[in-house]
Amino acid sequence: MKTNYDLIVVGGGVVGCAIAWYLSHFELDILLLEKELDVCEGVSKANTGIIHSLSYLTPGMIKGDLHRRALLWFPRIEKELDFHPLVTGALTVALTDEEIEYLQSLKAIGGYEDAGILGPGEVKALEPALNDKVVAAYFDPNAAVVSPFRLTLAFAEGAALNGVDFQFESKVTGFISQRGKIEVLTEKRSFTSSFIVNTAGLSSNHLAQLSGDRVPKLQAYKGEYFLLDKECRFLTRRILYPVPTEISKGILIAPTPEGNILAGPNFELTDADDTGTTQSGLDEVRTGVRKLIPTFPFDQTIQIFAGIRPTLPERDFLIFSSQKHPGLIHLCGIESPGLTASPGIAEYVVDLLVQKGLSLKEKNHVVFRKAFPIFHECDWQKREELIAQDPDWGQIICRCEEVTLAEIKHALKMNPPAQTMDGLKRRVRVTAGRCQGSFCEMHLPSIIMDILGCDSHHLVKSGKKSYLFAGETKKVVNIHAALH
Amino acid sequence: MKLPETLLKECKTLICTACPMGCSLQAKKSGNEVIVTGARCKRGRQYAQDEMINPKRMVTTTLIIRNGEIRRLPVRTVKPFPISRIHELIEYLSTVEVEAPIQCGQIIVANCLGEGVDLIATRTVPTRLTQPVR
Amino acid sequence: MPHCIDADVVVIGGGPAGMASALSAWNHGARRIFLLERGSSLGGILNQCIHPGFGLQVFGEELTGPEYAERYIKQFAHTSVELMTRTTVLDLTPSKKIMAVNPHGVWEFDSHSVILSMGCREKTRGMIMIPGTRPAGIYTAGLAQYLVNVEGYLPGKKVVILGSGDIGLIMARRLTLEGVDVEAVVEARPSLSGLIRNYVQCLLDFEVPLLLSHTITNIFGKERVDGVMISQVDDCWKPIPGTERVLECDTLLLSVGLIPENEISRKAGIPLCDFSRGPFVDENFATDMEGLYACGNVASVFDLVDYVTLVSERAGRAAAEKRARDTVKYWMTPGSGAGLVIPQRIRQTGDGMLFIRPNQGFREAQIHFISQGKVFDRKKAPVCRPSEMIRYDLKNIRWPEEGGEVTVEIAGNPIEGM
Repeated sequence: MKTNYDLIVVGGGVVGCAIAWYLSHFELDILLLEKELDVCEGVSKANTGIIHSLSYLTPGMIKGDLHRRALLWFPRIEKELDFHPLVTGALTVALTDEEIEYLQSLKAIGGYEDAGILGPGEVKALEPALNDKVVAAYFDPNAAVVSPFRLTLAFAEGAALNGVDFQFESKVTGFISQRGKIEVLTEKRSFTSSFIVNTAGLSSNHLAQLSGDRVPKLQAYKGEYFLLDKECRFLTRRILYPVPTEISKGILIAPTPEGNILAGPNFELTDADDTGTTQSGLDEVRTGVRKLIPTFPFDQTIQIFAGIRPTLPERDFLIFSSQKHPGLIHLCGIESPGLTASPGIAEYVVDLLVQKGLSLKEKNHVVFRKAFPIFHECDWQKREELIAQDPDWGQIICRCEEVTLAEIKHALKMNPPAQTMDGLKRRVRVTAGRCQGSFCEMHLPSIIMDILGCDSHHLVKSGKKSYLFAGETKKVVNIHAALH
Repeated sequence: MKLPETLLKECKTLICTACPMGCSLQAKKSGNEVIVTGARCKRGRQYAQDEMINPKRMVTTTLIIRNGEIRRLPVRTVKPFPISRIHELIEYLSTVEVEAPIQCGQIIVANCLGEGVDLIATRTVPTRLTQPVR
Repeated sequence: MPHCIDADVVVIGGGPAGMASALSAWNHGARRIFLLERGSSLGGILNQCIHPGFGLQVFGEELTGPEYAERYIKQFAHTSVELMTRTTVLDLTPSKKIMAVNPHGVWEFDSHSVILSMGCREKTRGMIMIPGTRPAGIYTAGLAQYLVNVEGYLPGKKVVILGSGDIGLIMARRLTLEGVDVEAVVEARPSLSGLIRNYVQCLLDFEVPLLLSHTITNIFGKERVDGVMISQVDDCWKPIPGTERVLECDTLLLSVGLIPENEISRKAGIPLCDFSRGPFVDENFATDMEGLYACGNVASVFDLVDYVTLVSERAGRAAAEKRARDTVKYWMTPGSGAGLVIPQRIRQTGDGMLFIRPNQGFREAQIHFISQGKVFDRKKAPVCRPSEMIRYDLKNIRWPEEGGEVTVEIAGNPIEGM
């Protein structure tokens, strides 16, 4: 079992996977350590999934700079990872005359020729559901939406295809300097490398402190969301932003690439591990949403959830090298626009590493990722071809999202594989539809057990203690023993 | 699964389930007799009688079935079974495993616990094909 | 190229409604009949309903769900109805073209009649928006029932059930018999939602507490449920401050409502009724669109499978006979005291049935049939409950000469508590 690597990435969120993918273009042995059972289990899991265009850049801040850099990466991401954001465009809505000034600043920052400020008539023609009180809106056709899971997985798959090793259930517990290298201690075993990237999201401040560095205090801010049924897909075709407040981009409404409508988030201080929705938080989101679309159909909600942002007092990204261990880089405060900026952050981090002595030799050949077909998105001819190749394509397991047995089996076998129900959900959408698994979860356990070769008490939702079943009928299974 | 103490009481308030009226009945045991108040019909009086003297219930459960298309075989008692021994019956049934194929109606356990009540399969389960079904 | 099939009748869904309508179509002369079922066997929801309560009206016997299903499955051997399992319908056009897939490929059906019998699905935690975390251990009651009864998996060790409808009550008993601790059944209404019989045999028998006028306001647990917050509610189902307490548990079962599964119906543009949540249907369970029928839970949630069979047989017969339709004479709506009336369209009253669901329990109930402001018929029932539909034969109602809108109202003494 290999323990020495050229570089170790700590954290399997969108940023960690982007860094691993970028670095996999070079002749390096790379390891990605993730404390959970899958990538995309932390901050990356619960956010709005928006690729903010240049208009929404915060100038004069590192995050603004990396946002700008990142947007240049997307053509390459499309080509090498077969990952395609859905360009929807965005409307930033002004409900008072005072707010129009903000719209003008967006136009100035974005510098897009095809973006502009529209009057109320034009705005309502574009999005009839918008509040009648709209006085103007800035329309930017360049904004896009992505599934944050799918983007993270695309980076992870690309990295795996190009030789990156993934170790899950590997929470980092310490760093020890060892003759020019750093030993990274985890729950399971330790690894060594000369270069480490701490991109552990909500845990990165803690890890920085573990390594002996000083960091500003982490403030965890929760944001709550409503997700609407696909029946509502035509409610808005574009991302709808309000004019932001001082503390956040505000409560917005956006279509998702899969055809749902997402609304949120609010912004409230909490603890880093407090991921529950609250009545007051949801009510706050409701109020904000109704300012944009007064008739928003909350009765079409299929799920509510919350995400946590790791923020620092300066509200900027803090990316710095350790004072204690040369070659260790910390990334703290990666909140919005972390998803959008992820490839730009990767580039910046690698530049820093090079300054610290990382030597980069480009590979002659990089494997491009080809996205596994999505049955739901295939036309009838393609569907026929797939079923003819493999009958598992003809067996629909998730009725709401039209997911086939073939896709599920692939998700359990790919690299990095789904090992949990949520891992399956992020890869192929089972349990993400309107019935939230009340149909497909009847059949998924036996499918998973078949492919993974495990027993029913091993099946988990996401974390290793999130067991699905407490035993079987007519059998005595000591659940606590099984969960050691 | 414990036997509720209330089932052993001498004097009980019952909700009659003989028809949707759901009349509230008072039933009191007096030797081998049951005195019933609140019943509006003879089915209600009979219900109270049965509940106090020898309450019985249909028992439905599932058994482990090997080599079947499905993992559990649904079964039931052919007639109501004494409540006082249901937990004993369930415990006994967790030791019973059957092998496919099974026909709906097939007797799985005859004369359960000597109470004169058979246990039958309620579903036909063919033998699983050599390839996993899913 | 897809497999292209010309049919007389295609039935979508192989549960009790689908089976009864397919067999009825055969028995009334249709020959090219295809029954499409997404699961690996017929039976639908009956396969997981291992408890008794089925068949009292149709067979005069009390059977369990699988036994009831078997009675119909066996009959197919005497027909040449084509049974296609593992076959999922993905599209239905307004012109009745069906697109389906199974492991053998893509299938396109062009049928004279299409019978929709897709059943219903369950209301979820997300739909009722209970705040809190999203740990493992939250199951809808029907899903839990399938997992326990068909697969043999226990959802947890200590369960709280939200909703006192029959599925929740039945699961309380089922889980208790498998050694699971059922802490309580929590019900927002002030009265029981399900059958009294189930209250006695599922809760009282096992001393499972029933908490009426209570709801769940929060779910706790990071990876797995570790408790729920319950709260007493007022008449408007709003939590009463100061009444909150935590029930420790590792599982939450939701038995909070069923929704007819009409995604395919929407694709075809079939008009849907907001109080039944299914297509508008007539006394033959024909929808507003020619050649399209909807029977069983897809049209409206029925409580007795026997009724599902009866209405589905009518749909099958009408689909086979291809008779021209009379114009609609009566347009039915539920009025005060009634939550639902089905069918909503009545063309002729010679045969057929009407089902009414009260929206609350009444003793000494009076059911009024009203047209143009006048009560044209009155019926009585000593008791009626939301958990049990009232059924009348159409020929036993004294319909007025003149057609038009008919409102059905129910009045009586509201049942409090049980």
